[in-house]
Amino acid sequence: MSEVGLTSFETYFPIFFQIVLAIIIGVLMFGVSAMLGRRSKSRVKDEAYECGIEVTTDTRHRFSVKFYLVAILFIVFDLETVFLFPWAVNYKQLGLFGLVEMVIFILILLVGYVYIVKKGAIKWD
Amino acid sequence: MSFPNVDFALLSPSLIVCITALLTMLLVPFLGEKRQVVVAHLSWIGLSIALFAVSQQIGKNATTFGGMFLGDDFSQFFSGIFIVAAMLTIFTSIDYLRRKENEHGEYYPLILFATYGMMVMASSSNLLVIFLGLEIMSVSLYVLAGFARTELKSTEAAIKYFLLGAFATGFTVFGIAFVYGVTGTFDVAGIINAAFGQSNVDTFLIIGSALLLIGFGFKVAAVPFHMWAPDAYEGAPSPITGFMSAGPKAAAFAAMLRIFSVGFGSTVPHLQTLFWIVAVATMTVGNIIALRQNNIKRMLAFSSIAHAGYILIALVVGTGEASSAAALYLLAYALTNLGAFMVIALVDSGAKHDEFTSIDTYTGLARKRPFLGLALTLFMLSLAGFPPTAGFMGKFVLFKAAVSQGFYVLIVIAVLNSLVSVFYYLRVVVKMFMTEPDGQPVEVPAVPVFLMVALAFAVAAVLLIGVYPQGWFNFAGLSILGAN
Amino acid sequence: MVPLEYYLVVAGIIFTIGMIGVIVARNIIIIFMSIELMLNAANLAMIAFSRNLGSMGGHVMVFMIMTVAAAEAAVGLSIIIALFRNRDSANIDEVNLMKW
Repeated sequence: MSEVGLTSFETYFPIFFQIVLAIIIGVLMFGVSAMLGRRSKSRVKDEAYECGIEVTTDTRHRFSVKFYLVAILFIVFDLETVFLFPWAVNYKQLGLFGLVEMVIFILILLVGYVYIVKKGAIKWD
Repeated sequence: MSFPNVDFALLSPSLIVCITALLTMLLVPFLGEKRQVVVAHLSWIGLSIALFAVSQQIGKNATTFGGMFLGDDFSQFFSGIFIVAAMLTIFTSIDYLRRKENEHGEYYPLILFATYGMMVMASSSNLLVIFLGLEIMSVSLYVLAGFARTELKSTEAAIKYFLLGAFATGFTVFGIAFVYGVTGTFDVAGIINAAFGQSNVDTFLIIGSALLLIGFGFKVAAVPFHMWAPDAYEGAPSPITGFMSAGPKAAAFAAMLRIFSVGFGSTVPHLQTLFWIVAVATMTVGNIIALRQNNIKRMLAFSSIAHAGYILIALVVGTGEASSAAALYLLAYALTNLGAFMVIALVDSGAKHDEFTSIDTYTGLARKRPFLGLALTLFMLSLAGFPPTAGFMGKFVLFKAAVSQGFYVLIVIAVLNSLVSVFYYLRVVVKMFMTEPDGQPVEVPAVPVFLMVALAFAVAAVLLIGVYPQGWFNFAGLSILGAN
Repeated sequence: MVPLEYYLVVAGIIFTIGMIGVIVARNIIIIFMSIELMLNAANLAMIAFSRNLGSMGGHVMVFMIMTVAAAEAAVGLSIIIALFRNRDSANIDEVNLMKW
């Protein structure tokens, strides 16, 4: 292990230092702006900030169920890439065998994808 | 690195099921709404090829994938149960779905995926692979339970099944983590070797096997983890209820027999006591609550809990004889219950929603439809354990195996429980034969061809195992010798 | 190096929080999140054991658990949506057509 010879205090001191520094900076910034800044209230200022785009509805807006469908599909396909990662790291050692395995794996995913597209699950209207 | 030597012949049954599932799933959106039944036919054809492949692998007792996949007689026996269960379920479903106006082709690939998961579960002694099989099976079944998605009861069944199933998964995984942490391997043989080396009881191993037991206890609906079963069984579409009580139960027990029948070294005495208590509680609670049920699906759900209690006896006894008795019991139970649910599905499909699941629906059924009545009577007798049916043979060999090891108290309790169970099984029979329906009797649809074939098969199998059990028992016995 | 026990204690605490969440929470989504918490506690324990043993088996298992959890999440959310469409509520106390 790399931390041989270090006591646990020495191991954790940088983290501790960083936490203290973060607290100091945070308190400082808010404190200074609270002391020096001028305050003025208006309706526009109380609105939610959405990257400068004008707010159209309130935050508790019901989304179309389509969003959930896409999100659900995303979860599944996104996490399947977990299996690609170790293969990519060991690509050289696994060689052709690994490639064939991965092609089969992707083909299985592709079956799912074709099914989804054909079912119209990612059609927007 | 060259290509590892994979024994594809050994994998062929599960591969065929998996590929059939993928292809039929792909086919579903390409077929019109009217032609979804094609998927059903392709599915059962694929399953029968897989069944043939299973028959070719009997007696091979080999492993592949570096010992992660076992192709012994134990796994072939159980694969056979799963495939037959899936086929009978498909035959039952074709007409059922049409009458319920819920003909979506995805139903059949889902059954195939569940079957594939069960086969994987029964074909490995590696906890990682067993876990994967368990999840493939469970995830497909969650969807199947809620397949009638506009029915309130069906979605309710699905959500309850899902939440408690996922909860159980948490326990299973945590248990696997502990067992792995102590022994450094996922392989059951390796775990047993590592555990036998230690003379003192390892706390982590106890925790791990207890958590695993909780996880599997949920899956087989053992008391006190049974609360999901009645709701999931009642709400799910009738053919799926039959499938759920036959396949997943057998799969979970197959995995449990693999994991626990030898036991993890020094934890054995502790686990045996635990199994004893769970077995007695499960059969007693299941039977007593079943007495006061009015919905036939719910009654059979509690009956299935009670049967899980009987099968748990095999894990208490822990000998090879008991394990093969449990395998025979599971076969008998699967065939009987599937048969009973064929009749239930037929009666249920008389109405669009689920009005026809109360036991009162069966009033006078046998007078109008003697063959249906006789078939259901046979299945009820088999469930209650009357000779000459499969259910009797299953109970007989199981109790004999326990008595030969001196578990007298346990068997007395089990026999008393079977006596109690006779009441509620025969209640259905009495309703069918001896009561006159007041008012308009329920219209039961004519028996469609596929259901007829399946029903005839189930009746024949239940009688055959009851009359001539030796052949089956030898097969089940061989399968256990292969497993250990 | 942090001893194994510390990880196990944290994993145990997270697992217990998840378990209590499943039992106490009334909203199905919250119950579902609690279940995911339980799985992640198991993952943490698995990785800790794997590192302690110096074997890769635990890592592979964690991969599998993660993907299985994702598949389960997908199916679970779909079931919740189906339920919500039927009932307009995601409260577990209202899912009570069947009891006893």
